[in-house]
Amino acid sequence: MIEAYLIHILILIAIYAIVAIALQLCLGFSGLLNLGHIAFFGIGAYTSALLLLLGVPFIFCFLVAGLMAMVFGFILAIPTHKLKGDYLALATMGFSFVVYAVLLNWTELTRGPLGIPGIPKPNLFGFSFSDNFSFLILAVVIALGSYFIINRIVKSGFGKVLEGIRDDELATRVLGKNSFKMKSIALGVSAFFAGIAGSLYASYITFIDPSSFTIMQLIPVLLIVIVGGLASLPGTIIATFVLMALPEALRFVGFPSSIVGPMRQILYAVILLLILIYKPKGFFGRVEME
Amino acid sequence: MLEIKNLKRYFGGVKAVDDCSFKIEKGKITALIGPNGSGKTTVFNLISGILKEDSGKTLFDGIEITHMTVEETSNLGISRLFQQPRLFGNLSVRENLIMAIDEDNTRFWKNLIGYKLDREKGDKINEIAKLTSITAFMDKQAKNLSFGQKRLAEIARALVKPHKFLMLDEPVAGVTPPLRKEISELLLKLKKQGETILLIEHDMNFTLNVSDKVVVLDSGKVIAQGSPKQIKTNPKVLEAYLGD
Repeated sequence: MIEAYLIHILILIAIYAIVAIALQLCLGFSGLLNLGHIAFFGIGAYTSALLLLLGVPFIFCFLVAGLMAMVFGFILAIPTHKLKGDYLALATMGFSFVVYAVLLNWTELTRGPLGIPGIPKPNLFGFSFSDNFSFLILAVVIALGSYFIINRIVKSGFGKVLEGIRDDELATRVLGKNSFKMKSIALGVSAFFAGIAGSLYASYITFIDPSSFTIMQLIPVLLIVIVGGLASLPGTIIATFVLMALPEALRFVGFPSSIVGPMRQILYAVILLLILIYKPKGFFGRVEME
Repeated sequence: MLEIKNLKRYFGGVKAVDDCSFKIEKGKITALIGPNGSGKTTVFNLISGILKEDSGKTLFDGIEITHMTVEETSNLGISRLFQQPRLFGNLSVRENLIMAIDEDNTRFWKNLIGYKLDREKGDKINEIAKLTSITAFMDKQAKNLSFGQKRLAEIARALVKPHKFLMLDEPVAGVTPPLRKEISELLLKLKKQGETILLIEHDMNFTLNVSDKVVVLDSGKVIAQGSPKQIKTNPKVLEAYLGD
């Protein structure tokens, strides 16, 4: 019993870790305060779920989920590439509302507020990941792969140019680096990983509806990135463990179940405030928030 | 090397650059001087594409760069230094220089697969670090440097960036007299190596010492140009700087 519960938490940690390091690439390394990140997660989840229900093999659904999110990442980059800071945050937040509205109202495709039930569990090369333990292994392998790739990007010269754009975009352009192209790729790659995480999420929970992809769901991810520290991937992973596991403790305190949900939100808000006041760099951050 | 023809840029009613024309010759140091607000930095921003001109033309090596973006002008071989420090604060000085010299770092797949910076480029960075005397703090984070150190590191970054033409906006503003001397010696050394430099500077002694040609701006117009000697005695220049 407790084992099954632990496995469940670990699977969620693996999925959220992918979403968080993808956001870290945008926010911590490229300086793009992208509040539309959760929309990419949703686009990936819906793409994968709908394709799976059509009988398309999982590996294909998984990749198309990432690619579809990436396409939307590139599209989002076009109108927002001249925006910075708060303005970019507002524009990308607007994007997440648009995606939410589409998921909610395009009922022929998404069944709107009813959501999509009965999403099949992944099946790879004849092996079915229908029990949670094997799903955990799949999720961890994909999370490690994502970490490896994003880590490689940020350690390379490419990542340094992204950091340059974060620190001083004009100076980067004066050195001949096309900042629009760089930011588009950062946003696209980040969206890709959010998309594949969405695919995993849909297949794990087996039910999705638009309310799983709102700004409220982004807050824990944003919190993970900020607590872990901007521009630190290991920090993000540690923060994912802590922040995903911490609210679980609330279940055992003995609150009635109707209070556990709101308590979780309050806990997140308190942590965010404390961090912003006492540790604005996060625990492992190299970069101060502006 | 660089030719500016009838360049105009107004900000509302303010004629920041008004029908400005001059030429810059290869291998020479040209200085752009003038009182505050005379349009020097605006000329720099027009050349590097940060601002768009209302009318006029800019030619670089015979190529028209008037309507090019910042990146395009830069990649043709124009390197510049800003008036304010604009280092990448969270990166080390070395990383700042590597970013400037590496022309492959914007290629996603190449970077994902991984590659090593050419040895020549690494040597060039070390050589310029020595020339600008920044070797001691190459691995420090740029935001932790003093103002003078930042200035030197920025000059180094502008130098390692592959270029044919160097624009320096007030390289010695706000630095100590010994460092000022060091930078002026550096500029002369660079000229010997064949660099073409356009310089903005307020310090007349400094400017007249290092430059071959001086262009004087006042209210966006070129009021005089010539050798430092001619400029020193030009009545128009004296009037612009000192009043009657």
